[in-house]
Amino acid sequence: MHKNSEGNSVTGLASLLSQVKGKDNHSEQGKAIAFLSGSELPTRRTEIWKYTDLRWFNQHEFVQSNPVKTQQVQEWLEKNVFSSPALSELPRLIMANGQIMKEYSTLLEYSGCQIAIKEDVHGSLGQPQRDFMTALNYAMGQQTLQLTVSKAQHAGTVLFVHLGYGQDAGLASFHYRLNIEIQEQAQLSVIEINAGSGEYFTNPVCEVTVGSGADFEYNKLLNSSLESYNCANLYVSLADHAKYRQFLISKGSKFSRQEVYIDMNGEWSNASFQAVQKLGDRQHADITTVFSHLVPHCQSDQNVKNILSDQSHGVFQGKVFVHQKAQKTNAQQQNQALLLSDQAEINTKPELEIYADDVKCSHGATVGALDEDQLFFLMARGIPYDQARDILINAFVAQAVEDIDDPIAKQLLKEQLGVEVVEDIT
Amino acid sequence: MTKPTQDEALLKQLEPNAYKWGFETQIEMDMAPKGLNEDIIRLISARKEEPEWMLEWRLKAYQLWLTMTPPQWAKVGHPEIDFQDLHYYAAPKKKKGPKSLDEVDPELLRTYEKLGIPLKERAILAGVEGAEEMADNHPPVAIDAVFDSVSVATTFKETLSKAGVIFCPISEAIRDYPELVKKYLGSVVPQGDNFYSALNSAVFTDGSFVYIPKGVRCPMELSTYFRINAKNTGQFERTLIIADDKSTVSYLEGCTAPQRDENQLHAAVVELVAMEDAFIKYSTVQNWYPGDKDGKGGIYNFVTKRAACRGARARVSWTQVETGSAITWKYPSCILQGEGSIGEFYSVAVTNGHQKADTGTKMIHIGRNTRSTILAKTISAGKSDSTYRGLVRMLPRAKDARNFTECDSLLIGDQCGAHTVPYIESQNSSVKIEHEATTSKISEEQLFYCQQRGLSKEEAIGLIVNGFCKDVLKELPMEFAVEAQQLLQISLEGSVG
Amino acid sequence: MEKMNMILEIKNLHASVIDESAEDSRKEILKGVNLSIPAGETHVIMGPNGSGKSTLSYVLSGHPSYEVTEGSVTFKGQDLLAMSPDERAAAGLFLAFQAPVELPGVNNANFLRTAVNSVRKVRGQEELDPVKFLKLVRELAKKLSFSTDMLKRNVNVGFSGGEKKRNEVLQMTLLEPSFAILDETDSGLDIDALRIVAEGVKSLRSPEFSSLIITHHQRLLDHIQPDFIHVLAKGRIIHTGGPELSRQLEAEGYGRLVGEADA
Repeated sequence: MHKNSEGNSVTGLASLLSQVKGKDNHSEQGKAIAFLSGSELPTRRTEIWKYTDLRWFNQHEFVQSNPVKTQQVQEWLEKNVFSSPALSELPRLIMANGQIMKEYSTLLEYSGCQIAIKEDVHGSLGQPQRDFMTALNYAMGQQTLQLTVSKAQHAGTVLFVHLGYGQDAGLASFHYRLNIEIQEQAQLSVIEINAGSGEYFTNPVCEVTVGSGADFEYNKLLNSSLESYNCANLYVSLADHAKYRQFLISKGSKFSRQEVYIDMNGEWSNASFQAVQKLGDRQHADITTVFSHLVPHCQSDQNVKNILSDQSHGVFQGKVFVHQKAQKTNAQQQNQALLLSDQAEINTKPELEIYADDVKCSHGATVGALDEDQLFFLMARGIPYDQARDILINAFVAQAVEDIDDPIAKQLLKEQLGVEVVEDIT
Repeated sequence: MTKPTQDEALLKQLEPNAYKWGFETQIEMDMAPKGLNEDIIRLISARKEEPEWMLEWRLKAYQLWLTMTPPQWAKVGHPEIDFQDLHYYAAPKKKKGPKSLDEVDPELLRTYEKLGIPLKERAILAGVEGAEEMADNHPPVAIDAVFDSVSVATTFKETLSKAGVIFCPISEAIRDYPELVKKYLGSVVPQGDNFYSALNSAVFTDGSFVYIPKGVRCPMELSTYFRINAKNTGQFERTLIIADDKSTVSYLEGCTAPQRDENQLHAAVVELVAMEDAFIKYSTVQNWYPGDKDGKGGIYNFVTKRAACRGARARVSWTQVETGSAITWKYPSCILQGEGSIGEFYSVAVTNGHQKADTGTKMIHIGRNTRSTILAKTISAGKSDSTYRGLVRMLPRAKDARNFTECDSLLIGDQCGAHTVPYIESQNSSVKIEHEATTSKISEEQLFYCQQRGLSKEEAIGLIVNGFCKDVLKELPMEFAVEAQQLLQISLEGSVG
Repeated sequence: MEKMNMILEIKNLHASVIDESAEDSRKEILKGVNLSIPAGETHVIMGPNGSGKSTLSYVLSGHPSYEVTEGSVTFKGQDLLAMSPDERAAAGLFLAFQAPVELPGVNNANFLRTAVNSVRKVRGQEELDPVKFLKLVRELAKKLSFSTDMLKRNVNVGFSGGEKKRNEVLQMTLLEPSFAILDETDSGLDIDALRIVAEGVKSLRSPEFSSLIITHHQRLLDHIQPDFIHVLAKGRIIHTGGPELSRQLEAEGYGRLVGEADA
């Protein structure tokens, strides 16, 4: 174990920063290290961390990860990707413990887009000076994967897999960086799967710029190890007439926090965010979004559903920001929580911050158990209680994935949610 | 009285630069020196002829305050307040406490007369045309008038005491009913609850005390009228209302201040205690001076208001119309302890000019079957910012608790902001919480329709705004509802081009 | 009266609605209802608003918001009150709801099949595979002028009032009950929809099938000739008569009967 000069073991931020000691202070990395060296870990007194406690962070000693065992990756892929004809056909990027597994990553040769790997961490949308986890990504990350879809190119669907493997001593952490540029009139659909085993910490940052009239769909499955900690920061910038859709299923991780920042920089852009957090045991999962309407005529829509069992804890903080210039904004936000246990806890803060007058903005939040009248109706038709309950839970989550365009993604996310795949019998 | 004449009366009030309560009363004052220290607290306590235990209580609060820092989190920046540059005690000079209204300084009586609060024991209706006709159908209102740091008059004390109701300045209650005050003061808002409650606990000068005994329905509306007059003073009033088992009371609060260039601080604490089956209705029309059109001057209104529903089925209803103050921070809250107890919050907050309001409520559900309703209407105009900030918390024992929240914001013009920040926390699977919020503007069609029928744009906006707020205004006692409608009109004066 | 084959026997039924938010959380609605319905008969309950008609239908089908405080209900020889709502449905009791709930996200066709197979399983009948089920449901839907589009949609979501009622009748026909309660199924229907609903009920008529129709109007009774009409007021059945009673009530109202009962 690491010891400092007094002989105490080094944990938390100090143990992380000791891994990157002496890096160039003029690079982005140097700035981020300097920022972090002068920062405290955010606490619940910080408004945006009000409901999510990072105390675990300081209780761990962060260590360099062991080399990835190719065998583990191979096995995972065989079970989860190669076994599915649909998924195995997709151009794919496979990362394990933050490293690109070139031997499995067919995306590198895919003609639908250009890939560049840069040996530094850079970006334009994230805010390393303001956001702790983003700064950590700049400080700890080693490379940037740049994916570009050229003008008017329809790249179809690609698969990203992020695998994490814990190790016996200490907490390994992975801070990879993905920058995606979809140029005007281009199209890309991403399916991202996060999985792994053991105890580890992932902290990726992803930046996406969607060009004029371009279309991006991002289907993300967080199915990481139930012992793992996962933070992810996503920054999106939309040009005029750009279309952005995200579907997020969060069910893995002991602890997770997904931050999503969407800037609508071009008129008539459209952002949609549909998420389900399905938690059990003592899981803690947090979705924090900021949708910024910066110009007129944009539309955004957020629906976040929490299904909480056991002693799990769900958090949703969603902000809709409407700039003074952003007249004719149409923004909608809905948050629903279904509590299936008396020990489960939900905290939600749907926030509107509005500076333009000619807008239509609304949000709604509901918290509760299953609807008694609906349960009774089903039972009065002869359906036993347990089955009636399953039907209603199923219906509650099914709506979240109903609108996914990509059929492969839709099938995958439905299966992962345990949504009974209802064949259209008519 | 028919509706149209009311509206006509309201519309007549529409004149530019309309803070008509901005005059100053010339009266000789007894002022404590500027600054805050233990000696000032001793001086306040001595002026009030307080018992030793009260002084100890204040000093404890002062010690707590010294360890605290002003809150920074709400969405309203303001220049740092120099707490040593304020007078903490200012009272009109008098020989001895007036025995009856006849002994009150006529200058003061004139001030309240001018404010539309005649301190006479007759049907008192605040400055409304047609009041006389209405008076026949309405019970009189008992008024406690607080001028800067002291209560100058309380009306109808005798009538009330016949019913067993205690309604007096809190300074008097400390002397006359020490057991009640000791038992309840600080029991809902502890001295160290927050920065401003600690400050208030150390230096509060006056306010109202109400005790409604078991089974008593208070025979008339109770009302306190707060007036800040002196320069460089803070007003720190303290109100304590206790409704014992099965009792009912309706209490109204009004406030104004002269027009001044510098900001003045108002940091009140209000504590309500409702026992089993008791009902307290607390209504506020807050009309402190909001500052001029450039944002100069105005009151900083940093208030802690909280109710404890201690007994089963206790009910507390907060209704507020907030039109004044440069900055308002205010979250009238309910702690719903008693099984089946009910908390309600009805609010209209209007900001114009450079005003900033950050207001809302907290509903803390502790007991089984507790219920809460929140209805908040926010209207922003000019260069102002208005935020609804509210918390609904369901604790593990709050089985089958329910909350319904509706927040609607209306923006007038594109220089203002309207924000909604609800916090929803549940640790209980049997509860049901519903929250809805919308933001919109007055539609062109509505305006055009009214204008086509001959109304001016301003009149049309007034009508539409009143309609927007109707569900809240109807919760106010009749007398206040009319005054509140007038205020809405006047506050939005000059907000349309 | 000779011993008949009773399908439903209600004796001295007292029931309260549970409303935890009210100070008086148990409010008694049914105050001693006695009613026996033999197999093969159609009975009608009429009565002023608030007399407890819907409460009776909810209590018989086992809604959790109602509490039986006294009395008994025997359904085909079994203690009905001891059964859960789904057991009652499987035993052959069907309630056509006055205001059917919406089930967002629940596909109608799948819901219908799940319900049918749940009761078939309990009744020891073979479960229907999708093909057989679809054939059956299509035939019935056609009879009820029920567009197949309504099968694809979510249960009752976005249905018009008439569509919801037809969906109820479709469910009734599919579940093959031996006893059906129709709680104001006729209200808000146009003439064609009313005829369809009436046809649905008539098609089930057999010596083994009984029904209890709650209604305010004569017009449904013009289509379905009832055997008996009961008047429910203030939580009790105050009068029973033949089919002619409904016309009489339509002409003169409940006033006189209620007055006599009070006296």
